[in-house]
Amino acid sequence: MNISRQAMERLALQHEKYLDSLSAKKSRIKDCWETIQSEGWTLDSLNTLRTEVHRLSGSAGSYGLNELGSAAQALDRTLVMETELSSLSTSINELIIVLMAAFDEAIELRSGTKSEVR
Amino acid sequence: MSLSSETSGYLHQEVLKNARYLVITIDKYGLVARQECPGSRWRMDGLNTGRPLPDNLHGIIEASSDATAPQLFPYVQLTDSLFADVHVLNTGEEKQLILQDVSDGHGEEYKLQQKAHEVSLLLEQQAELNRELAAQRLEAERASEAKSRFIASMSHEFRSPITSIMGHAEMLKNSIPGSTRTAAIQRASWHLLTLVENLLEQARTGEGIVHINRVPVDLGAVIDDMKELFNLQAQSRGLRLVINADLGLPVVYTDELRLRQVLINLLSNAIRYTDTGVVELECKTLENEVQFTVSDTGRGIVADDLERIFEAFTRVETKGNGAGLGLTISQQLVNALGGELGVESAVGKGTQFHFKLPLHSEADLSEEGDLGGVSILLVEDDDDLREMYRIFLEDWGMEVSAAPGYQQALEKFRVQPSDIVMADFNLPDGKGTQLVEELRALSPGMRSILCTGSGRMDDGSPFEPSCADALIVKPIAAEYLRSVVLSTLKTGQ
Repeated sequence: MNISRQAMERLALQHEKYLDSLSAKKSRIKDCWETIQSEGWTLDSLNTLRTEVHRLSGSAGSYGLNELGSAAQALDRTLVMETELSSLSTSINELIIVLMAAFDEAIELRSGTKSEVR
Repeated sequence: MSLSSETSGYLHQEVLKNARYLVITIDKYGLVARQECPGSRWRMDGLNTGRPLPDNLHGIIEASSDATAPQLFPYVQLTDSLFADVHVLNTGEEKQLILQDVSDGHGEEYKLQQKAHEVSLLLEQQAELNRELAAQRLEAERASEAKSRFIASMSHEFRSPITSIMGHAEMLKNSIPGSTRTAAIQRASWHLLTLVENLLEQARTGEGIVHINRVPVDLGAVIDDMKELFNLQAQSRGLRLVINADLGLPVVYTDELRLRQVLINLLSNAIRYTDTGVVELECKTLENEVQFTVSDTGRGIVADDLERIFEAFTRVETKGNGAGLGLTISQQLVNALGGELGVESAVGKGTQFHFKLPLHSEADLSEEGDLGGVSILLVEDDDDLREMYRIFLEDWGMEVSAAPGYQQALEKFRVQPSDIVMADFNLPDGKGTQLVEELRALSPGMRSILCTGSGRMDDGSPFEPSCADALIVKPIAAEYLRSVVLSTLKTGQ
């Protein structure tokens, strides 16, 4: 697929911007989960977590961060289950841990300390 | 013009000589007084002196009883083949009927009139049939619509609780490793889901409405999932599940949901009808195709039954569960995907099902088509994705209008409708499906693309063509996006 040089430059800038945003995305999800763990599930916290994770599950793969995207999708599928999520806290916690690890890997990629074959 | 008396007399004689006339005189009592036939001999049956006129002529007398001027009654049928113009003259106490034979001329005219009447009747009947046909067609379309809506509704109603059960079973499996009970729940759930899928597919395909949604499918992931799904089932029956797949399986552009359904059906059957030994799933890349083979060391199928096994609701074995739809559905789906399902079997040795699917490379994705000047409304709440899509779409010459949510999209569209809308299924303030419906009402010619994270809608229900014109699955590669936009616009032309 041929795209113009101008589009390539725009994409490169956008890609950089996305990678730069990973730390903030990670923090938001982590902070939200820690709040849920300490204060319990509320509608607000659930919606915040769902929104953040759902967006990540859609965007990470598009920016070539396949492992981060897969981890987000797994958590996204669990969060949309129509059930009492407090009963799934253990499993969600495990998925959050996996997600955080994927974030770290992607952030390392951004900092250039690790290469990834796409 | 005035004729001489000689000429007039001559004409009178010639006319009388060649024409057939009958003059009937009726007395004041309405009885035949006499009949005279100037020119040629013509006597009419049923006409007797001193007797009343035949009924058909009597009716004419009644109709002209008050007339003083001569009356003409044309084309009166006297017999099956005899027609006459009847002139009635009142001559004081008597009446005279002058019958002029017009059978030859009238015969043809009568036939034409009859034919015209018959044609008219036929046209009326045809119009009535057309009306009935239109009514029945409308009824059938309504019934079909109702059925489609019912299927879509039932799809979601069935899948949601089953998916929930399966999800919980998965969670339980993780927290209680080795539990046979959770494994049993999973097996039963998968069996139920497969049965539901098959029943609903049968309802769809019964009307010839298999809609194939081609997306890039990672075959490696599909094969891995089959292994994950059926390993436990096979083990529980003392069987060995063998996965034989080429390394580096390609990405295939096909309907992932339907492909999975076929493999699930074939593997379920293989495990069900194998008592000992091996069930194998093989996936090989050929030159322009990928070949799938599901084989087992099971009971085998009698040669005479090999054709019957694809018939709906037909089971060649009485043991075991199942509605007899799995192979029927599988055959239909493989055909819809561009392949053909074949089978070989030997009793006591085992059975092998196989099919090939065409391998569409990325180069096959149509890049032909000009998107220059086409307007698109991009509705995506994720800023990063929205910006990425905008870069591609604008690079292709499209006029891009973007909105992060339902309401803003609606407002923008009302000000300036777009040729095509691409909307995420889940928006912060509403559903993409609902937005598409609302925008369609504003601009019926608008084309639409829904974005989801899987081959289904994000609420688990399958993609129904009534929701949008196309479904696009994230992550979205540029070539894929362009191909879907072009094909969506083309279908609208």
